[in-house]
Amino acid sequence: MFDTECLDDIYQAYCEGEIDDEVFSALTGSYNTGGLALNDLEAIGAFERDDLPTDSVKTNINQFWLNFVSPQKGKLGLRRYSKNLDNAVNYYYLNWQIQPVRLAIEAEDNNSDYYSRRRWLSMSSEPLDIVLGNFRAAESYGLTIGRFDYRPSAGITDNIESDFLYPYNNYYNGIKISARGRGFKGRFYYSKKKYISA
Amino acid sequence: MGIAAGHNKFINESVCDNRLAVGINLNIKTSDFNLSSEYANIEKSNGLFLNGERYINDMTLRTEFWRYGKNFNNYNCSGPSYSDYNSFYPEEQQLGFRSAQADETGLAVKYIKNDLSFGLMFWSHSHDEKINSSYNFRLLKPAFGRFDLFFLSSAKSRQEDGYFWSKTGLMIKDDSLLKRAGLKFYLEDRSGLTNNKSYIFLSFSHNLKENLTVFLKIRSYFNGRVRWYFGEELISDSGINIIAETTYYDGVRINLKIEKLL
Repeated sequence: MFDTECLDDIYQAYCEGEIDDEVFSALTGSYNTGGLALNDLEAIGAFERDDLPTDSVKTNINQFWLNFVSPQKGKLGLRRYSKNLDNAVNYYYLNWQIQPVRLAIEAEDNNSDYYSRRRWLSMSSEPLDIVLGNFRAAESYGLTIGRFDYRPSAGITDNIESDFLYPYNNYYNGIKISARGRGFKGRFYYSKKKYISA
Repeated sequence: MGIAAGHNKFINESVCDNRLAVGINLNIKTSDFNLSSEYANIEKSNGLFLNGERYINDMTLRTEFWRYGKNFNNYNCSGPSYSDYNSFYPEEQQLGFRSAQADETGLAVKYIKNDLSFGLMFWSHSHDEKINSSYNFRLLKPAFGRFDLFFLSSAKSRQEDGYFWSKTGLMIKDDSLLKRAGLKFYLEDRSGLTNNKSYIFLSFSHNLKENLTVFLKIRSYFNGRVRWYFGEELISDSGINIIAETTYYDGVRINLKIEKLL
């Protein structure tokens, strides 16, 4: 197995529009070398970094007030993809955090049609992590609960609408609660997706 | 040890599809080896993935095995497989969902030592008598002075689309303008050497200032066409990042990213 899970991530990023076909081609090429690890996807270029929350967020109540007094966390930005100068898609995004709260919102502007994309709000305070909105899930090797909530692979591709409650993406959409205890870790996921025909 | 369970409910018009997936995973790890696995069951169909790693000094030997039942159709499964991106259609609907794993059995072995890795993989489906296979080879070796030699090669033997490719070249470690140079050969089972996938490549990069990098990557394909890929990355101290890339090959693509750190 040559990092097949990584190929899966690349494919998902491509479907999501996070990377264009040039980058997709380059990444799958790297995948074929067997030298590409999952984290490389974030490291390879500026256009394919993922801002979804992870389980690695650690904080405490003191850090909360420290950040509240001096918030220097987050970013506001624009990604623009264009082909032959006349077919541009803009993505606007905001990540903002005052520990232990983090917020991310992304919107798509496709020829003046606006869509909601990933958005999530997370709060982390031992022993609980809570994410509301889009999240990823990964249990062991993903046979039972995998990393993506797959959208339909056929049937609706062009005539689709996406709203704030049910953005058209491949991530889970709902709530994720992670808890830690002595020798125990538990996670609960609830996700609801809706595919709205235009 | 862990236990996972997931319930999927898919409603479309008058059809409601309910699926319950239940799985168990195990992991044993020491300084010498790592054994891990996951078994899952969904709608009376089973999936199994086993991973074993043996560490000897700076060498790792990894073996993986997977087997998925014909009806192992899980809406949320990302279990390791060859990933052919097949679909399944609940209740014969037009809406298909990804089902890459169903009906696949595979075995992979990989040897890794320093900058050398070599892997073999075999996989098959019950409806296809042919056993697919692929190999993968990677070597990065200091050559002479400031140069590293790299050699990558991969091949896949498959009924529809077998291929072989190798990419070799030099990486330059110091601050010189030229960072990488080499060539790639790509051969397909059906057509032999594929000119639109085989190319000579040159990669340049230069730090104009401490925070500003410009780059140029050129691919000269065997069919005579040239692909230009260039751009810049500015990471300013004021927290404004401007990154742009342009590809000129099959039309012009321009990607731009502007962000302000808050």
